[in-house]
Amino acid sequence: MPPKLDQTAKKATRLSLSQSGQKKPFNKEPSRRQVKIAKPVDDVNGVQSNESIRPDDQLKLTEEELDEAISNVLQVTEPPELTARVSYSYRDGSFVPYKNVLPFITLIELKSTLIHRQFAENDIEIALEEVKEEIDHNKEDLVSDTDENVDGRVQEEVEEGESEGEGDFPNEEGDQGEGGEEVDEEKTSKPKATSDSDEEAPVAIQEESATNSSAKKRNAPKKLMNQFNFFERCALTEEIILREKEVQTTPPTKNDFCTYVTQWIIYDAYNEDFSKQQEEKEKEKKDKIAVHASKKSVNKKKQNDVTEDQTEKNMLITAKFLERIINLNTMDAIAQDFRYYEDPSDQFRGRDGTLLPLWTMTYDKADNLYVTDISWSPDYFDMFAVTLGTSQGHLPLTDSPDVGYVCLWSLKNPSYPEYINQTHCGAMCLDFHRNHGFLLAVGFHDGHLAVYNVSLPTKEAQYMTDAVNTKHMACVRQVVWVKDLPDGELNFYSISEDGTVCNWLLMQSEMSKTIIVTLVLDIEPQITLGGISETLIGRGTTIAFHPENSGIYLVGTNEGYIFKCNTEWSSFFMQKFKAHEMSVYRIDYNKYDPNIYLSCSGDCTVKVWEDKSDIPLLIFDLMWSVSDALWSPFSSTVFGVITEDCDVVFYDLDADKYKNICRQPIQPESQYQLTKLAFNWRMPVIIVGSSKSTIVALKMSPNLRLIMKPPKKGKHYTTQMLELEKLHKALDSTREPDTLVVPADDDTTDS
Amino acid sequence: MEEFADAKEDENKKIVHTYPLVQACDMSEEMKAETVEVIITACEKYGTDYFAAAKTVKQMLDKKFGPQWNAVVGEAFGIQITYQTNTLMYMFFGGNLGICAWKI
Repeated sequence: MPPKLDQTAKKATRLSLSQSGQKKPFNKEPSRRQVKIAKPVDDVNGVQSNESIRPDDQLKLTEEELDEAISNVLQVTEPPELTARVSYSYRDGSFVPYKNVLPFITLIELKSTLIHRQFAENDIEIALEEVKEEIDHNKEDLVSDTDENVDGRVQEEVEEGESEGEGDFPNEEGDQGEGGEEVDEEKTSKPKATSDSDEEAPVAIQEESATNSSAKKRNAPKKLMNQFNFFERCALTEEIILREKEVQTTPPTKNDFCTYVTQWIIYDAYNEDFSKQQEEKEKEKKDKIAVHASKKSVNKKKQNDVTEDQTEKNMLITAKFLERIINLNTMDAIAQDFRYYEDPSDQFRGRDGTLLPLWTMTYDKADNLYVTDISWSPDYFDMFAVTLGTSQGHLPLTDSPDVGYVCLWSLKNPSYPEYINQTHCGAMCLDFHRNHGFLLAVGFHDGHLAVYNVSLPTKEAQYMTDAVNTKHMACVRQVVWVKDLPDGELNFYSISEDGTVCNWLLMQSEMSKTIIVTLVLDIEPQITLGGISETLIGRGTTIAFHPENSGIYLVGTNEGYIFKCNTEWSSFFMQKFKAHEMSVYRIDYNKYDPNIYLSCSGDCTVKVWEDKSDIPLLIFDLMWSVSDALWSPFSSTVFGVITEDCDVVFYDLDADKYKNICRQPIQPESQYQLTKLAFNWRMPVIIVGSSKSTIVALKMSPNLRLIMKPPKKGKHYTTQMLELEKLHKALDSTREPDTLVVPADDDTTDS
Repeated sequence: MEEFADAKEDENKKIVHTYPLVQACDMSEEMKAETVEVIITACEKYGTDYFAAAKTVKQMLDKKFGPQWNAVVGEAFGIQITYQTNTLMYMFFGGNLGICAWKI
């Protein structure tokens, strides 16, 4: 095959490629035809374009032929291409044709996967559908719609004329080419018929119009779905639209502050603060006192009312003063008697004495209450305190409230108490502290204990037992202050009917309780409840401390027992014996000899005991319940007794061991009872409390307080020794038989 | 003689107070107690190194109550600040120290 032919084939291929790019959709048919037309024109075209240089083999055309309008088709050619290139072969020594005739070199060949838009599958599919309809009257369309692209077809056409096996084209085209050969032959027959004629253009136009109409047909109705980006509407969910949202909080509040610091500012600040602190401390101190003074707001109010009105206060003082003066005037005679009267008739009575009634003092508000205890003030000999309450064994009447009073009386003003303090229930006992005369310990009917400071304007207790934890379970019968502890803490003992002896220590703000002893009786209980036998506990009624040995004390119980105990041992009694048949009301140590003590009881007897002995030295039967008995502080052998039938009885062991030296009725009326007795520690005066809240002061006649005078000749005996001697002399007769019995009448003759 | 006595008395009166004295504070009681504690600790620890003390105060307060605290420790200074309410502590300590801590 000459290379020229090969070249033309290539040219045509490229031409058709460029033309196919310009083609409109579904205009494949004309393009192919144009290519086929172009083939014969090709050589001619190159000549026509260069008219000035006319090769010799150019066709000689007439003017008419030249003028004839021929539709021109643009083609890409390479005009200066050499048709017969030779190269000199040195081996042969001659020219040989240049074999490598290709005017271009294939540098890279890429197979495209892109499909041109017009050839996209949708179009093809549509076309396929329509082809089925049109297949009868348009065979060419059918041909074009087979999967061949135009290039391939051109190639096949070229290959028809040429030899096969060109490596430039893919094999598959070649394979397909065989399938399409028959069709190609048919095709080629048609264009060949038209190719040489001048009617080429009109035919092309016809064809074009035909294809156009068919294209219109195809374009109109159908729309295929987009396969790459297609979603069923029903499968679509609602789209969540994201939005930006901002919230601003209110800014934190701000303040301005400015200051400046220097050394003197710091110094001043400290000084100011320090002085403030000092003031507060002082205030606190005052407050503390005030709190002690008035814990309850009600009392505070009252106090404020009093303190606020200065004039009222002054008036009160004046009124008090006036009352004193009037009392002194009206009671002048009694006051004189109190001080100076000595019964002159005593001289003629032997050893008997009398009692001179001085004042009868009554607190009107509480005239139905018992005088439950009397205590002389250690500081003022003319002042004493009494407690008023319901007596033990007498429950408060249901219609009257259970009240009690603590009253301070002065002999200077017998018409009205100096100090009145109403308590929440019956006050049962009290005691003045020996060194701090303003401290008053009070025991109550319901088991409470309180300590009052009578020097303060307030009526509130300084210390009060706790209703839940500390208080006694039953009525408190006696309280006794004892010596302060080595570190100065005040403490006192109390005895209650719940059978316990307690020690109370006054702390800063409260009393601490220590149970010293529980009075256990060694009696088998007669009644056992449900098989449980309770230990019997003695109901304590009175307590007396040894005057010299403060650790030893005696306790009397309601059952008539006397216990001798020591504060050191709580589970052990030094002595325990049945002293009386009935309740022991008082135990009192002799003021001169601590080994001798007396006890009085409801069984109408007063017994004098010696220490460590279970047998009384003396028994005095008074035929009536004895409510109180005390040794006289003036004489070692004299003691006073009060009975419930309103008699005050005095005995002097030195004078007569069997007969009293004085028996004096205090109140003639029978509903009265005498409850308590107290000797003044300085003046020969006793006070007697009754069940009608009256207090009677009585003066002892000289015979009741006879003191042993040292003999004119002889040694210098002190009164103390003489009194002791007198007592022992009196008691010697009653002691155990081994001691010498001294006849009693000897004593009387002595005096 | 009397003058001497007076002078002596005056001398005796000059007591150096070293306890912490809070001058201005609008914190809650709990916070106040803690802050005072922090300041005392720092000032006692570092003695005359006020820088270190202030740093410690700041750091500890930051740790305790969240960041951006400020602290001033010194013998003489003047400040004008804007602070978040309830976070101001202005106190004296040791008799010669002014301390101010606040939060921005």
